[in-house]
Amino acid sequence: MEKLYTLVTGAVSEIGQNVCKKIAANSPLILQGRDFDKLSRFKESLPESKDHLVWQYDFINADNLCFDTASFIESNNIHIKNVVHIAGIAEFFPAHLLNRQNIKTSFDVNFYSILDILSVLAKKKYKSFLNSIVLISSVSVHSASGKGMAAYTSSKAAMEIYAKSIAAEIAPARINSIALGGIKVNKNDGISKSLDSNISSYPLGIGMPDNAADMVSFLLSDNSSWITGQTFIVDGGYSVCKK
Amino acid sequence: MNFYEKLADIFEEDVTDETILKDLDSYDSLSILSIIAMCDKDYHITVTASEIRALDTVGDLKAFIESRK
Repeated sequence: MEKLYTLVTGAVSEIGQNVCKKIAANSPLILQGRDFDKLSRFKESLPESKDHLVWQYDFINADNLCFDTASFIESNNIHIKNVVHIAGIAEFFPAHLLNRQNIKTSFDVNFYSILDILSVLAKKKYKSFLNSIVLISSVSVHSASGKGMAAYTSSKAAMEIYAKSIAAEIAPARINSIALGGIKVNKNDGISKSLDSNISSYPLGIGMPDNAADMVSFLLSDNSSWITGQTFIVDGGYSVCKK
Repeated sequence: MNFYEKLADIFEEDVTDETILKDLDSYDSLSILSIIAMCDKDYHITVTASEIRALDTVGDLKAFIESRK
């Protein structure tokens, strides 16, 4: 029998790595990312490392993603039961510079990528293997977002509503989103530094990658077998705290 | 787009080396974040808001970016 895989997009991001470590023992993984060397090294570090697959792929301008997704499944002779969509990009644009052209990268990575992948997995041929899909979104879709974040938040919002809207169509497979608050990662650019001043708005403190991975793991497991089409805010209380 | 054109886009007015940043109509937290984003994306350098705020003119900003490259 063919093995059933869990596809993790953005697998070598900090949150991606934590998620993979948490679920690698339960299911062989497909590790998607842009950097082949990094993906390969990470694969070797995982439990059951021989079972996992590396899928080096760039979602920006990925006009052939539907075809390439199907080819990847066919050429490896596998099936996909779970998807965790972590790949994401947060590009900064003030409203007067944000237009159809430069919002495209955000939509390519954050939304159109999972749209294409699921258009393949929702086909009759693959659908019966599907179990659970988890999409990483952001609390900034649901509460105050910083200035200049519209490209990011609108692409994440599109993704969440898409998930809700296809839930009935893909049942009995399940699809849910996690709207994450600030997670402490090592990324040290100027924008992240400016956001650090927000820490006092988190009643439970700033999030750790593990906080995200725990929720992903719950939504993939049978413990959430009667939950679909939902968005869960996991933000240490950020959205209910007066700024 | 060159450095001056990018700034003109951010501030919606033309700038020269002598332009004083704080005198620009749309000099605020959003335009400072835009400059930080520009530094990150186009010049691959990490700068902070307080470093930008400490600069006087557009020429100073240019020299500051050069010094970090």
